[in-house]
Amino acid sequence: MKKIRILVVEDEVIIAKYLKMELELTGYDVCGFVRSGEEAIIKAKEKNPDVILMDINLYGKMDGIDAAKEIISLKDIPIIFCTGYGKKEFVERAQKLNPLAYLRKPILAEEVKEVIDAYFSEK
Amino acid sequence: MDEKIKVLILEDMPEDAELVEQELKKTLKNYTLQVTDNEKGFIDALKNYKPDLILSDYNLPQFNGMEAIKLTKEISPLTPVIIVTGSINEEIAVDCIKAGAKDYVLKENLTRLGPAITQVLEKKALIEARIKADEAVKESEEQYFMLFNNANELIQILDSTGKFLAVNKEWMATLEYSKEEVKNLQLLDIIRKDKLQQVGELMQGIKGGESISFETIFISKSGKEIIVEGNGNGIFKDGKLISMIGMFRDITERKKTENDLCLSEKKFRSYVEQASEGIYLFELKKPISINMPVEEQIKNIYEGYIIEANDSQAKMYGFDKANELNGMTLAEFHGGTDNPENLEFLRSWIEANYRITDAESKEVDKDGNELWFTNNIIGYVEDGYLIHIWGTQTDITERKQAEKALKNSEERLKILFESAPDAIYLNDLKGTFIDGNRAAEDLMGYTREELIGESFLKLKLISGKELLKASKLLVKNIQGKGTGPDELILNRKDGSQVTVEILTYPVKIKDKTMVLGIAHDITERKQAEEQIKKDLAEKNVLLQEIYHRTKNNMQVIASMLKMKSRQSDDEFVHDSFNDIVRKIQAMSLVHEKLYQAKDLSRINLKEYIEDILLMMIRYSTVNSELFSYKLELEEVFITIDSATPLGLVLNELISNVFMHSFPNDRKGELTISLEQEKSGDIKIQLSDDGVGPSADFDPEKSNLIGLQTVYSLVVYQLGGSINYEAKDGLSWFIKFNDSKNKLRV
Repeated sequence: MKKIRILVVEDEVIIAKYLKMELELTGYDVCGFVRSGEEAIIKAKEKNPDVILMDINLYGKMDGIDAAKEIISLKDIPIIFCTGYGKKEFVERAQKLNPLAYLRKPILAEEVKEVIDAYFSEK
Repeated sequence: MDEKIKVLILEDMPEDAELVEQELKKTLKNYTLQVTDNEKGFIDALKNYKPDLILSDYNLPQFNGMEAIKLTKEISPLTPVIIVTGSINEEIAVDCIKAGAKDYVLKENLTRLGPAITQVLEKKALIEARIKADEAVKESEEQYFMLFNNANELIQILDSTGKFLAVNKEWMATLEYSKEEVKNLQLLDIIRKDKLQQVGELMQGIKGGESISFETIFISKSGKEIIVEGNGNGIFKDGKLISMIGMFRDITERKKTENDLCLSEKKFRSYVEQASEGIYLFELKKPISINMPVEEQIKNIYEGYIIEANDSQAKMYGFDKANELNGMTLAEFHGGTDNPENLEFLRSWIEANYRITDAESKEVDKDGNELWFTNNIIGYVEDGYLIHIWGTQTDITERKQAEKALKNSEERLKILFESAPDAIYLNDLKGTFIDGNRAAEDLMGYTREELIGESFLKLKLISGKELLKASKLLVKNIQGKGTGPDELILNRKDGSQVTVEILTYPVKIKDKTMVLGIAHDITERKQAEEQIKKDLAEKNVLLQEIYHRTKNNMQVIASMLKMKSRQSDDEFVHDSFNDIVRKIQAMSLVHEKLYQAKDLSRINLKEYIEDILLMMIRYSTVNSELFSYKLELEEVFITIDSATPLGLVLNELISNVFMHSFPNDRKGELTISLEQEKSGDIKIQLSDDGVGPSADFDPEKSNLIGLQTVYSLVVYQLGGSINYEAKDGLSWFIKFNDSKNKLRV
C-alpha cells in the first residue's frame, strides 16, 4: 500500500522537522514542508499531496486559511488546520473551508493519524 | 403913539375937513384918514375901515351927528366920536354927550380939537386895556376850573372845621359820593377809623401852616378801602385858616402790586433757600462782550465770583452757610481753569447763547475732593455784554462714582471675557450668535462681526455627522437645561477642523433665554489620546507577538527535546525528556492564554487549569476508561507571575496522580476545585481517590525533586501555603494571594 503523502506548512522549521519526523515514524510520507502560504500553493501544485497539514500563522503575507482556500480552488486536497490559538475569527474562517480537522498545537502525530485514518478509511 | 391911528371924518364942507386935518397933523404923528359926507359912506367905513377915532360934523345935508353917534355905538361901540360943529346949541351938545359922544369942539375954536383927541384916545386906550385884562382873568379862571375838574388826582376843599366845600370829578368817582352828598360830608366820614388819629394830627399841622405829605386810607361810600398818597395845605386870610385843600393820588393798585411783589419775592426767597438744588449767582469782574473770542470769554468767566447762593450750594462744597461762598471764583470751584470736560460745556454754553441745561461739571469741594454736578446755567446779557451768570446745580457725585465703579467692573468683566483662554459665546435658541470673545474668534476662525447674527447652521460650523448631536444640545437648552461637557468637531472658516469640548448653560438676559456656551479646544488632547490609543494598540500587538514568539520558542524547544529523546532507547531518558516537555508545555500554555487574554496581563485560571489537565491527559498514557476527572472551578484571574509557577505545580501534582495514585489499572477520579475568597485568597484543592501515599510520605523532606520544587514554588514564589491530607486517597490544598503581584502591562 502506497504511503499517504502529507504536505506540512509550518513557519517554525524545527517544529516542521519534528512533525515530519513524527509523521514519518507514524508511517506517512511527508512530501514537503514549507513556511509560507505562497510556497504552500506552489508546493501543492507541484507535489499534489494527499493531505495538507496547515498551520494558520505563517511566514509572509498570506495566512494558512487564505493559502488553503487558494489550494482548494485548484485541487481537491483535504486540509488539516493546526494552530495554537482557538481564535474565534480563525475558527469561523477555517470552518467555511470544511477542513478535515482543526487541531490545537502542540500537534501530536497520533491525533493527525486518527484524523487521516478516519478520512481515508471512509474513502 | 406909535401905531397908525385910523381917523374917519364926517364932513360935507371940504374946507372944514382940511382945517380939521391941519389940527390932526399937529396932534397925531402917525395916522390915516378917510373922509365921508353921507350915511352910506359912514356905515361902510365903520365896517371895513374900522376907525380908531371919528370926528363928526353935526349938521349934514341928509345925515347928522346924532345918528352917526347911534350908528357908531351900534357897529363899533369902542370907537370914540368927537362932534366938530360950527353951530350948536347947548341942548344938542348935551344930547350928543348923553348919546355917547366923548366930546364936542366948535369949528370956531378948533385949537381945542388937539387936546380933545388926545384925551379921548387916552381914555379909549384905558378902556381897551381894562377889557383885555377882564378877558384874561376870565380865561384863567376857566382853565383852573378845567384843571380842578379834570385832574386825575382826588382834590378836595374843606372849610376850617373839616366840612367839604368842593371836590373834583375824580374824587367823586373814586369815593362814590354825588355832588349833593358831598355838601353834607365831613372829612372824618371818609377816613378809615384806624387812621383818624393820624389825620387829626396832620390837620393840626396844616392849621399850623405846614404843607404836609402823607399816606392814608379812605373808605368809599360802599366801604371800599382806597389807599391814597398826597398832601394838604391850609388857606389863610388875615392869619386865620379859612379852608384846607387836599390833593391825593389813588395808590391802591400800586400798593397791591407792591404787596404782591413783596409776597412773591418772599416766596421766591424761601424757595431758593429751601431748594435742595444749589442755586447761585455769579458776578463778573467786568461785563464781557459777547463778540469776544470764546476762549477769552472763558478766561474772563473763570474770574467771575459768587455774590449770592443758597445754603444747599454751600453744603455741596463742604461749607455750612451760603455766605461762605461769597467772593469765590468759578476757577476755585472748578479746581482750575484747564479741565477739558468743564471747558467743553462752557464752550457749548457760550455757543448756545449762554443757556445750557444738564451740563455736567467736574469740580472740587473745599478739601479738594472730586465732585460732579449737573448744571442749568443762564447768562444775563444786556446790550451785547454778559453781565452776570446764574444757575442751579445738582450733586451727582455718588451717581458718577457708581458709574465709574460700574465701568470699572464692566471693564474687568470685559477683560475676563476677552482674555479667557476658552471660547465664550452667546447664542439664541435658534443657534444664532449674539456675541463671542476673542478665543471664540480664534477657535472658529471667524471675526466677531462675521459670527454675530449668523447661525452655526448657516456658517456650516458643525459637520453633517454631528448636527444631530448639536441640535440635541440645543433642545436641552430650550428645556432650560445645561449640557456638557460634550465633544464636537467644528469646521473652521479656513476649512480646518477643531475638536472642542462644549459646555452650555441657558441664561436669561432681559427676559430672553439665551445660551451661554464655553468651548475648549481639545484638538491636541484628542490627537494625544489617539496617539496613546495607537501606541497602546501597537504595544498590545507587540506584546501579543512576544507572547506568541515565546510560546512558539517553547514549542520549538519542546519539539527539539522530543526529537532528541527519539534518538535514545533508554526509558529514563524518555521519561525525563517527556517530563521536561510537559513542563515547557505548561509554561507555554501560560503564554498562549496571555495571548488570548483581553487585557494581555491576566489569564483565566479556570481555563488554564482545564487546558493543563487536558494537555496532560493527551500526553499521558492513562486509560480513559478507568480514569475520570471532575472540575469545580470558579472564574478566577491571575497574573503571569502566579500563573507560570502555578502551572508547574499543577503539572507536577497531576503528573504524580497519573503515575502513582491508580496503579494496576485501578479505577480512579481526580477532582480539582478552584475558588477565590473575598479576601482575594485563591484556594485550589486537588484530590484523588487513589491508593494514597505510603506511610512514610513526607513531601517536605522528600528526596523527590518534583515535590520539593512544588513546595518551593508555592511557598517562595507564590508566597502561599500548601498542605495535604492522605485520607481516601491524597488531597492537596494550595492557598495563595495574587493581589500582591502588580499588573505588568
